[in-house]
Amino acid sequence: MATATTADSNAADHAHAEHDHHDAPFWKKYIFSCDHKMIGLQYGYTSLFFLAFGFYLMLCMRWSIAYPEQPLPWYLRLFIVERFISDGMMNGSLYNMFGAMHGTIMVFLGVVPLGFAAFGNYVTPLQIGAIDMAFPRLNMASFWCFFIGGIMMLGSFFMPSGAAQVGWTNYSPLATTAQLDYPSIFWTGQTMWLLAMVFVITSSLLGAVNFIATIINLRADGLTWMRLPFFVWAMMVTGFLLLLAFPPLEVAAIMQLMDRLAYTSFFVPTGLLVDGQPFDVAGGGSPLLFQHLFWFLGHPEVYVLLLPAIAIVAEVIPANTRKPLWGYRSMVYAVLTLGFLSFIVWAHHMYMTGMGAWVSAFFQTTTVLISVPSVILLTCLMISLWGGSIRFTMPMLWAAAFLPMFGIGGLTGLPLAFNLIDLHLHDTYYVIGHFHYVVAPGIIFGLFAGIYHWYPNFTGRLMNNFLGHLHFWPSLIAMNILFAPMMVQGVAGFHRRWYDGGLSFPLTTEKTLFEAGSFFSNLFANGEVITMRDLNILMTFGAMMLAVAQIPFIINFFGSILFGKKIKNDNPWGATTLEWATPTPPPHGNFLEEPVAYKGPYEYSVPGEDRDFSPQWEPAKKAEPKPEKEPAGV
Amino acid sequence: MEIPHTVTARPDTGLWNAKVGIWLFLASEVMLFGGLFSSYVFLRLGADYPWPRDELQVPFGFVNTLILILSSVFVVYAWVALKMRQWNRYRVWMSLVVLCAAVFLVNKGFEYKAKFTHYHVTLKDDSIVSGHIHSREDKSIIFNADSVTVDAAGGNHVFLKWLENKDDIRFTAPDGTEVEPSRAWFADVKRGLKKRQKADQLAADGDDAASAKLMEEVNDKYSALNAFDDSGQLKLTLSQTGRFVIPRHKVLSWTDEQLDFTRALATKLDGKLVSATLKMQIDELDLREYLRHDDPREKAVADALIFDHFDDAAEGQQLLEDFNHYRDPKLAAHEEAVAEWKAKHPGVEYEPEPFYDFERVYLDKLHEEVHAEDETHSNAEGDHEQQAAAGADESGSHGHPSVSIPFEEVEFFSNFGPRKNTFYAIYFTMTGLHGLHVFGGMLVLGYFLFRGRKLYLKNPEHMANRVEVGGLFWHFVDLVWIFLFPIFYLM
Repeated sequence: MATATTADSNAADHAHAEHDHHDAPFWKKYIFSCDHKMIGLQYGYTSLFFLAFGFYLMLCMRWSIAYPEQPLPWYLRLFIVERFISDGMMNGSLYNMFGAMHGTIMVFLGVVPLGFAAFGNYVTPLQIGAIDMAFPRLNMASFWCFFIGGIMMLGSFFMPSGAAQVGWTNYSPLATTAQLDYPSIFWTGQTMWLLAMVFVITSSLLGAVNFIATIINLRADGLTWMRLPFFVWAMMVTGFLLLLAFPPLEVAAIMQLMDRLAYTSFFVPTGLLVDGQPFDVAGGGSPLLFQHLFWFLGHPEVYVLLLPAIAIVAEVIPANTRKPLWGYRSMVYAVLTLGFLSFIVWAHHMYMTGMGAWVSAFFQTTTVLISVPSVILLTCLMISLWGGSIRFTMPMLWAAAFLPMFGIGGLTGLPLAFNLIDLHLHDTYYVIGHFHYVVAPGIIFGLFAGIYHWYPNFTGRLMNNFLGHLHFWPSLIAMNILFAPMMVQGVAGFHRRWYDGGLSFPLTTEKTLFEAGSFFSNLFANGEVITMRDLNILMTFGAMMLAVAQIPFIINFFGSILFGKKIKNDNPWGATTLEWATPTPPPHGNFLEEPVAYKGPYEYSVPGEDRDFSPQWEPAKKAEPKPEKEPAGV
Repeated sequence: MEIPHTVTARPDTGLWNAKVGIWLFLASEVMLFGGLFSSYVFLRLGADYPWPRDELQVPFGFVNTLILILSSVFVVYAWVALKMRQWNRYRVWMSLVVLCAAVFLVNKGFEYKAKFTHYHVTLKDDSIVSGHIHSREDKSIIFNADSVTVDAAGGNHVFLKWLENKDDIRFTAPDGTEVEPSRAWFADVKRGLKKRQKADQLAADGDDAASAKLMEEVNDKYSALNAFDDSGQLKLTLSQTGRFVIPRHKVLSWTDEQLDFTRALATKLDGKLVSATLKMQIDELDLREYLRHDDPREKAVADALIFDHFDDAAEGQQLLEDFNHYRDPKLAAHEEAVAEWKAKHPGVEYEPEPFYDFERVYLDKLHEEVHAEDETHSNAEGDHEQQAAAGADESGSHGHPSVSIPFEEVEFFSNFGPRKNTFYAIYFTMTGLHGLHVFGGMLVLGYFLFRGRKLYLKNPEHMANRVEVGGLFWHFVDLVWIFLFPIFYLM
């Protein structure tokens, strides 16, 4: 039977090769492409652009906090229209605008599309041995919805009102009543944010349906559930999170749109005053409802960010330690549990809303519970290192750095889970420090690992090692300079929304880090005011350093397409999963012959074999029974 | 290159791709409507006004429910016909499905229209009336303007929208030049303003030459700006009296001589106020919030502001009498029941209901009731005067008196659209989204009906699969309505 399918697919492949020969027109091949790999790359390039843009917004904000009385330097001012800044300095509303858009862009247009959509699209069908996604045209629609949403978000900066200004959480009634002083409320950043979110959400929903259907129905022969690479499992759980958590946010966005455009009162309480005037709507709505709907998405979203990254690390580690992933099954069950629990922890973001002690106690309990599967995942990855002969390739460096960095991020989250401690830490820089440790040196490091790991697959060349090191080490150091001080000043009560340091800065000081001289002695002494400022200057320095550290990456990423070292065979890392069974780069239709999986995903250093890896697509030495009847899990 | 399992099921999962896809899509739809239903519960529990329970037309909703259930059955027959490869039969059933969808939407359209043309006014003291407004002018502020003051930074041309006789009017600036305050003119003013600010900035930085050059350009190209005074205002005189008919919510404040548009428009009018009253013919009087019972204020029904604003004071007096006549026995009965309850439960604190339903009356019903009593009354006593009054009522507006309420006394006014309260907001949002789903389903099923022949001839099983997927979606849409109907119409 296997031979028959092979022959069939050879014939099909032949036809396909001919088809390729005709060469689809440029716009069909690169722009309105239905090929999952091209869509993955489109997502990748777009989201990398958005990451860079979000990073730029953050640099401006950091400058504003560190040097509130100095104008922005010319290189930050290049992209800002004059009407937004006063005397060259950022004012509060510009800071708010950048803050809101930094969060929105990084989460919805940067990290999620890079992790889930770009890597997921590119790698998942390859890893399950499919020729494409189950619904290729839906896949294309998904990308273009995302793209339109992104353009709308960017476009909102150019409106008279500027972009949205009330934080990435867009809480009502602040968001409902913001930017109403314009002739057309429709053409304001705040409204555009909601419309753009509707597009981004639609894109994610289409993507999620496609991923899950693909994984359920298009696995190669012999690829049983327990033979799926962990990455595929993570993609499926992520798909379910998006599928089920995003619609309530879509509801919230629609309701807020109604509040802004049709003057309904979903989130507007009775008796609201705006600028001292009664707000002319019926009232009777509930601001708390918006927070519930938002965080019902917002918390699973955290795992949507995390799972692709941790799954990439789970692919990179076995390939570079040359031994199987430790506890593959427990990781699978952990990720499923994690997915389920992530739906019932959302209100730990809302301890301060006064929703009631019993509700808080419930969500505190589930929040503590969810740390169990997270710790299982991280522990399995740690133990996987044990006893391996680790090759410190570029992807492995990023993956190795992911573990402690994400660990710090996770552990600093524990105090926030308890509502008593959260009373003190809520809305301080401690929270910012915590989730940036999770997302920036954690998740983004995982995504970098993925870029370095799969780069040979889509270009046929390796990225430069020296530039890679030049990217990695400064990034690692800069990330810590940037985020560690946040914890300190957060515990001291530094508020996350101050654009100029607020009350913690003396009004007259012009000291810089280097002038202050006694930086460390001031850290916990009574010179608290100066400390706050020094920490902010230090963090801004870290941010600048991080920006510089990305230059080698950009050079490396684009330069290696032309000048990178060519790989000698299609499987440069000696990996075992099916994406390395394709030609490099994979053609439209991916595999030369229909792949069959004969074994589990991480068969490294199998005793008795002559190589230290034993790919899924190669039959084992011994005669195997038919793959379909293989007992699950080898 | 063919994606596998598009038509035939994968052996181990037993599913073809689109079937997996549609179930996943429906799962996300469940979450979408789940979010909305949860919001409904949240809003209803948190409502601080009497939640409307009998304001929607049950027959309309009931018929629509039947239509959707029927169409759900028809779509199954259509699918069966395809499975049995009977194309003509399929066409008949599918046509019925699409027809049902269309009838549903038309029905919905009638319901919506009735709500958008029915108005609700809350006065400052929370007394409420509902009814019909007969023209745009009856709900607008009318102002005869002699001059318009526009703002250079925030002004725009939008105010022209409400100038009735704008074709006959020319605007003149104080220096005698004629000005056309169009969109382009305002855009020029703003551009010039920006350039001037930049020139000032350059001058402040010491670059006089560049500043002078820029100022020259401003004077040259954006001379419109020169007419504005130092505070950025420009008063334009109208060649004849301009009649403005302005929606209330576009006006910030007004006096007899002056009117300020909202800040978004940044425009002022000088002239004479013609009218700032809301004129409507009422069909419902609702004093539940005025007479709240969880807040024991002693209020007399007769003191409610609304009774001051009847065009015909006698009608107001009549309504007041009728209302009391209707309410007093019910209130007495209620108080008796409460006293009984208190006697039965000594030591338990009695929590009064915040609102009593019998303190809202539909004028038609009230009229019927009171009129019936009148007849018996007059027959017994032969009171000719009352009989004559009742007769006049009948021949006239049938008990729908007209009121004119000055906008100063209006707390809130709206049609029965989404703005009215959170009930109508969630009603319109949910039924609107549901209606969009019906419309989408109608398009897709219509496509299968009119454009399915080609695929049917090529691969009938594929066509049947498509109809199955469309049918599953259609069932879902039906199911959502089955939940929507009771929560909005019945509960």
